[in-house]
Amino acid sequence: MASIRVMHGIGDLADDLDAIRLRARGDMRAVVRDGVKVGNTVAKDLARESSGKHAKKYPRSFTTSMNAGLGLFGNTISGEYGPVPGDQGSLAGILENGSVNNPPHRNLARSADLIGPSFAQEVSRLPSKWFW
Amino acid sequence: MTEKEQATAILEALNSALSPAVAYEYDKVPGSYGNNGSRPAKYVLVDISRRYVEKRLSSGEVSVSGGRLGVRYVAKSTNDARNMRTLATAALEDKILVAAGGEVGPFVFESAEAIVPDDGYQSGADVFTF
Repeated sequence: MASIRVMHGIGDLADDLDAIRLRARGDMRAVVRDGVKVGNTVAKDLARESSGKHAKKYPRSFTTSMNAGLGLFGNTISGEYGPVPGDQGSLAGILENGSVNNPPHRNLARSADLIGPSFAQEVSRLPSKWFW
Repeated sequence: MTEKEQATAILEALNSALSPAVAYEYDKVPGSYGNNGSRPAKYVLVDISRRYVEKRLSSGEVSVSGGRLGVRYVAKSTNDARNMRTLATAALEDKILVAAGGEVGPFVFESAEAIVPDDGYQSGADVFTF
């Protein structure tokens, strides 16, 4: 029978924590970046499907960006996805939530429904990756 | 509760809260979408769709029938639109509607849009999940 034996001392744990301190922020940033990218892909696909012939170029305006700042308390990592203003990206105001004449498309809201839970899972999985 | 029953319950609740203004689905507004009549000076637009809800168990399939409700307030004056927002929010937010087919709600606030000029009207919207 095969067996695995792991020996760990308090010194090793201290080393691990030191290493985690250095890689944590980068890893968290990577998870946010991935989440934003996947969310954007989903939203863009939904937009392509619902934009119709008048807003054909609307899906092209979907982009992602990571925010450079770390927030008021220096511990917030954030990114954004969605249509940027300009060209047909400016249609976001009437497509997402509709207008007097047009029913809403909810491309962003639907993508957030999908990506929100798996993003939360990815974030909660990080600590176990660090201690592996 | 079927989507039709949900829509009926929501429209009823809005109509009794907003009277004399009427809540319509997008295709039912008089004077637009090829309907007879002229567009009312103030009315509310409603849309309902099902939304994806994460399953909470790691094993097994759990199907949650959550939905999203959009309410758009349309009026000739900003004040009327604001008043309708107040009345509609009071009738829906965090409330459970009971109808013949069952219950729908509670409606939880998700997002909102300011009231801005829109094709000769002033309009803004609230989005609820349920």
